[in-house]
Amino acid sequence: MTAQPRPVPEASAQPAIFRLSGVVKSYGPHNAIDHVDLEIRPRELFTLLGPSGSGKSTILRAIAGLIGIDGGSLTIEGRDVRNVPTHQRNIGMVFQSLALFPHMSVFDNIAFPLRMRREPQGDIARRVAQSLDIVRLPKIAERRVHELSGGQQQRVALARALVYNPKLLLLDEPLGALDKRLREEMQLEIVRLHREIDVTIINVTHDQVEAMVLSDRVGVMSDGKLMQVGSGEVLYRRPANRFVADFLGRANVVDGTLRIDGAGPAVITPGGARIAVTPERQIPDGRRATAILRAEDIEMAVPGDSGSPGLGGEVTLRLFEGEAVYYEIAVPGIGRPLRVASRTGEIPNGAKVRLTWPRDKVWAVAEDSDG
Amino acid sequence: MRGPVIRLSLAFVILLVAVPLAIVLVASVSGGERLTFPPESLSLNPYRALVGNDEIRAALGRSLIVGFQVVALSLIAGVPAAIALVRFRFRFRFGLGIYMILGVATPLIASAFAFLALFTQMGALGALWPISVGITIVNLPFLMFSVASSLFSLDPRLEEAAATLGAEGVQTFLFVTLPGIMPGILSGTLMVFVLGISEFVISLLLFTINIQTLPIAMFASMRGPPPPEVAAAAGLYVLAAVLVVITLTSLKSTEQFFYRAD
Amino acid sequence: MAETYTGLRWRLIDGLIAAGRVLRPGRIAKAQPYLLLLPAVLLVSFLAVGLLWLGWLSIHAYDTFLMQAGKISAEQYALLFEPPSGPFYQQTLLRTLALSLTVTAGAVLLGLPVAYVIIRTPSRALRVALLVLLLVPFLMGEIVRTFAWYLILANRGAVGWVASLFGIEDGGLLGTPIGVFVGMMQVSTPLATLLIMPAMRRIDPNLERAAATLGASPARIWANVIVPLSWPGIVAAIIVVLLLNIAEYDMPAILGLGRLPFVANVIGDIYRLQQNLYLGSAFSLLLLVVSTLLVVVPGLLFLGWLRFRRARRAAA
Repeated sequence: MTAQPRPVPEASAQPAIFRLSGVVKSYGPHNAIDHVDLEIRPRELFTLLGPSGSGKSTILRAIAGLIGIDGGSLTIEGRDVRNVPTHQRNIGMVFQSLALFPHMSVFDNIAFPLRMRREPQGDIARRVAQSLDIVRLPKIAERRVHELSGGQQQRVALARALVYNPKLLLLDEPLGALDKRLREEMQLEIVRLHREIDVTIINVTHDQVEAMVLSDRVGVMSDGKLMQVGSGEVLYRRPANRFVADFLGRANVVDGTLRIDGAGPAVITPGGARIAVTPERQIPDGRRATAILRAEDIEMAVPGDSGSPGLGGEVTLRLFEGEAVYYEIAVPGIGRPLRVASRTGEIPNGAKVRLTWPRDKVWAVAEDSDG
Repeated sequence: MRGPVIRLSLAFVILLVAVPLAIVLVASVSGGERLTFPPESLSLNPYRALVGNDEIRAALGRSLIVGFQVVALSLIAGVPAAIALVRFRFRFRFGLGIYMILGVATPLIASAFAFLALFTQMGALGALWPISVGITIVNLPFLMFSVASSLFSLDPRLEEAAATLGAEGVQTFLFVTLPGIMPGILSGTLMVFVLGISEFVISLLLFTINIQTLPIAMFASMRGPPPPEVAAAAGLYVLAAVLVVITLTSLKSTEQFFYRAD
Repeated sequence: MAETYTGLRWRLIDGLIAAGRVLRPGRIAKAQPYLLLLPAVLLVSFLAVGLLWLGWLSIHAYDTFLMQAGKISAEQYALLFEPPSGPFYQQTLLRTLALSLTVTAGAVLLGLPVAYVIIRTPSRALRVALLVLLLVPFLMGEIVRTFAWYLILANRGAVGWVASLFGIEDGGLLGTPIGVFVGMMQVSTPLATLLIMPAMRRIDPNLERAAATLGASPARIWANVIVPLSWPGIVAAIIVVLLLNIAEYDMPAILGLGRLPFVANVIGDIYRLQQNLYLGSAFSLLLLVVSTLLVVVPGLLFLGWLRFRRARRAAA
């Protein structure tokens, strides 16, 4: 589930290659991009993750210059590019529809950006062949685009966007329309390409698994706002708000009041249930807070006696999912049943159970955090 | 779906459309001094008569000139206009769109009379170009629809991709947009060409005796029993229409245009 | 694509790019759509100005004997509406409308099933063949269509020949309303079919299957599913086919032997025989007004209402 342990450049180590600050794009009264600040480091693979309509593609299109922005600044290698037209930004972009030119051969598609740059003819043939090698598709240069399979088209689109060595490569959900197997194959391809060549990548997706597998860092978007930026693991373990928690994986989100007493910090629900938590930063005692419990972090046991620790509840739903069994447990004092993913699936419907969890795996955020 | 009513209607429509085509083609290869049915014999006499008839031949030449003028005018006016109306959002877009179909929304005879009144005032009657201008105006929407429909089916991401790859607006248009809408331009051009060479009502009001186009000459000869060379001319028109239609349908975009136009 | 950048093509492109760079910083970018529309606007203005000129001519008196225009007056409209000549013009207008409406109704009724077959047939060959057949009459020209029907309907033509096989002499249909009607149907029916198709194409075939499983007869499916959902196409067909037929010239002149003149024939005669641009202008404008008020405006309003209703349903 988590990113490969790959050396991620530290923010302090290198200056950002690309920076958005206070960027706003509005359509009428609605802000499609709402004051977004973002720094991308050199050679980073960054993913913007969010549901459809959250503004992630809009950011990408603003970076490419396909749409103008209404406020804020956009700099690439320290240069403000707000008034630089798309064709002079030297950015590579792969579209969801791929946008390969249907009336050209594969060679002409890949040669297109080189010809637009008036590269010498001899170089063009060499560099097209080179970039086809990089995406591991030699010997298809003379074919027409529609003669290629879906996976081959993806690779051609990547080759075309990389052949002129852009500093920044934008991927606008190019894998979105693929079936599961091909999508996983292409994800590995992108990771491999990113290791082999010197390029910074910004990827956009609504697929949380893809985001975490591919990326050095992930930014979660909702309703035009950037909710949280961090490694996949940080987002998963330490979500900044309930939206991020809800969007990544299967989490139980329980509202209540934070109490810090002798038994340690806990969120007390209005119904009186007590959930032991690790609070984010310094939430003062008595503050409204939200506890976030991952379904797979909850341990479930049939109680020997009612004096054992944890919350008591009753199984209301049991679904066999293959690698785990999914339960819903009605707990007195908590409005919605808690969702639990358990590896031991022996407990039947209607059974009384006790739920426990390690305190450090349950995170609490102040309720006024966005989301 | 396969009910008797549907089958009967289909058969009737096929007869309604196909029988006249067949009759014209048969008549155009009939022997004998007068056109009768069934023809007395089969021969290529009508076509020989057509070649031998200076007046009809000259009329055919004029109609072809009109056809080419119509195509040139339609392309100059129609292609950029279709691009503007489909690809840009601007003030008066709706109103200008309506203005463009004025020639179709006005009954043809009223348009023809408007041209007559205007060109008479301008002293332009007696030349071919007023006829071409009139025909272009009433047929312009066909070319514009054709171009617009291929613009609609052109993925706008293609042009954006060209821009990210470093193409200026001019290069994007020449290398991406234009090839993409070429099928639409081609079918629109063919359509306005055949409509141009066969147009009648506008020519009828704007012609003077020394610039008769072929449809006018054919009409004049039909006041009495039509001579064989008229059958040959009609045969040529039918062949041209069939040829153009087959080209259009093999362009595939046309099938899409009519079959799934939305 | 050219392989070097020194050819004429690339020089031209570079020139255009340079020109664009010079022009772009100004307000040209905003004016771009208007510049693109300019040739077409100028071209169509021949018609717009012509129509205005018609209006101007139609409100002038004209001395047919001296062939001289007079002062501003309603004389031409009086000729159209008042005896002795008024009834003839009005009768012509009514005949034109009546026959055009009949042809339009026939064309739409026949066009519906044909459009349905083209859309639902699994055979691509049949679909393409029908499309070819429907497009040809539209592109062969009015005069050739008329000529073909002349050959069919004349006394010594195909119909007369068939009639003579049954011992009927003088079996030609020239000069009868039936002849004119059939001739006009040849182009009207394909046109109606082509215009109905796009709307019908959007009907989900499962709707018909669902209706059938719910026990609806084929006739009910047509009445309650196919026709209501095809309304936008049907209305478009009615507008276009009516507009086409209302201006018909050749069929009444040749197939009707001049016995059933349409407005277009009378307008043509006013110009060719009387050289009277003023009366012709008035009659042309009358036809334009009638067709706009009776056909274009109600048709567009109906289409707008259909769209509004669909939008409201989608919103609900």
